[in-house]
Amino acid sequence: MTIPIRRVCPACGNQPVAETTYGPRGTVESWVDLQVSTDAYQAPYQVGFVTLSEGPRLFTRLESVRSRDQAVRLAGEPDRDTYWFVADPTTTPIGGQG
Amino acid sequence: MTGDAYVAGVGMHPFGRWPDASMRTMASEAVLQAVGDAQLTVRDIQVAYFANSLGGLLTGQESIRGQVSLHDVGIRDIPIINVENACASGSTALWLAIRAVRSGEFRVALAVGVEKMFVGDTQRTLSALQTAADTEATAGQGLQFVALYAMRLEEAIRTGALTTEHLAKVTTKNKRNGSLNPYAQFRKLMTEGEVLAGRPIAGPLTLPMVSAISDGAAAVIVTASPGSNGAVRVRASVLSSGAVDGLGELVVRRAIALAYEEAGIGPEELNVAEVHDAVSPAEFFRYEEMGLCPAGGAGELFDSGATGLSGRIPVNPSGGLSARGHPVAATGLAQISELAWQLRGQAGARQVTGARIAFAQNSGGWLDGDAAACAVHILEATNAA
Repeated sequence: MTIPIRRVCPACGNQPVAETTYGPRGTVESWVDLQVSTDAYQAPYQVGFVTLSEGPRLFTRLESVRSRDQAVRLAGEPDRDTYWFVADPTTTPIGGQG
Repeated sequence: MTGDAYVAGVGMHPFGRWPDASMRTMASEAVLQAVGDAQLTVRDIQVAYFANSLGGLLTGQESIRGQVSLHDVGIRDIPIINVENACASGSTALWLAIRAVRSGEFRVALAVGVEKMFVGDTQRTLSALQTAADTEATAGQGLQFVALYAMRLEEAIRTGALTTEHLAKVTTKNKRNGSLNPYAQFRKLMTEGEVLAGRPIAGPLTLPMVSAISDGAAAVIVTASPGSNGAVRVRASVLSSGAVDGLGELVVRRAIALAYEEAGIGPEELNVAEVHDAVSPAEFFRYEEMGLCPAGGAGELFDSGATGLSGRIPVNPSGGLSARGHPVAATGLAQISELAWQLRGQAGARQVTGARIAFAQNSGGWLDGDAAACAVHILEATNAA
């Protein structure tokens, strides 16, 4: 996914803001199976909110998620600049209830 | 100090699937009805705010849509301002028209919203709707906004605040109201079983619960004096924008709080409400945001019958977005048309008895999980119907 860089902190309105790197791991906070296709994807597919291990939350496409608090990791096709999060059963959920 | 503003006339082109109608013909119909309702002529209009969201993508008329669409009814040598705020475009045009009148510079202002969504290619219409977001952030992600509603509703079901049955019941309530509304797109009654057996859309949501692709228009004349047609006074007019990360539509709460403050009233004084239910069960979130019930109490409020047509505070007597239809930029002004009819005692079989104070809430677009825009208007009947 692309998160446009902000010029001003949305919380306090101050400048400058610093760039930082997050991920690639997170925990599913909520998710849903979509049954309607879009230009980009054939239904069914999943989207939801992921809380990254560092704290920020993202609305993102998901893959193979079956429960809340599921551990996920970043996946993607960098050539197409397309990213999503996929269930990661090998990892203990971060901050979740396991 | 600003002057008063009145809703002096309203009009609609019925919502539905109209292959032979264009933005121009539908806007013309709504405007002429509203002008006639206000007992004025189009030459009395001094400024016009024209709301449309998707016409650039769907009809190719990217620029000067207002001038093009209003030319036929003779609105041409006055300021015409083209307004876009996704599903809140119509109420944004109203907000501007109210300010034009309150400022004292204009005595008669027009707000009109129109959308032509049936263009022979449903996928193209759905793709156009997805642009009501930060497309740089959502490009290629398949992020449909119905997912946000689905997740909030699943959470409410998981925590016991709502049941799947509630989702079906609020939809049948709104379909029943819509069946009494001659301007509604869907006028068929549905049973709870039929709603739940509908095509799955996302999580617990089925097709009958979601707002539909629609063609239609609505217009409102705003004046500085009450006029003679049982005019309706504007008690509050608020527009705000979304600014937070998260699952909730916090901008809706903020806009509602500001509107109550401006009107000097609270939720207990409302008699009727039209709210933005992009999916019918979103009405439950509005109950809480409006303060009609405590957090988690929406299901109980609904079960009490309070929001039904004969209840204490009927919500969406027009049928709401899933029954009336949702021609994006027309919706906010259709809400105002419905409430004006309700306050004047002209709502026919869906009339709310004795309504004096009416509430309208209209949201548009998505940004960071919040609605991108939200307008709230509170209206008051000025003389007995």
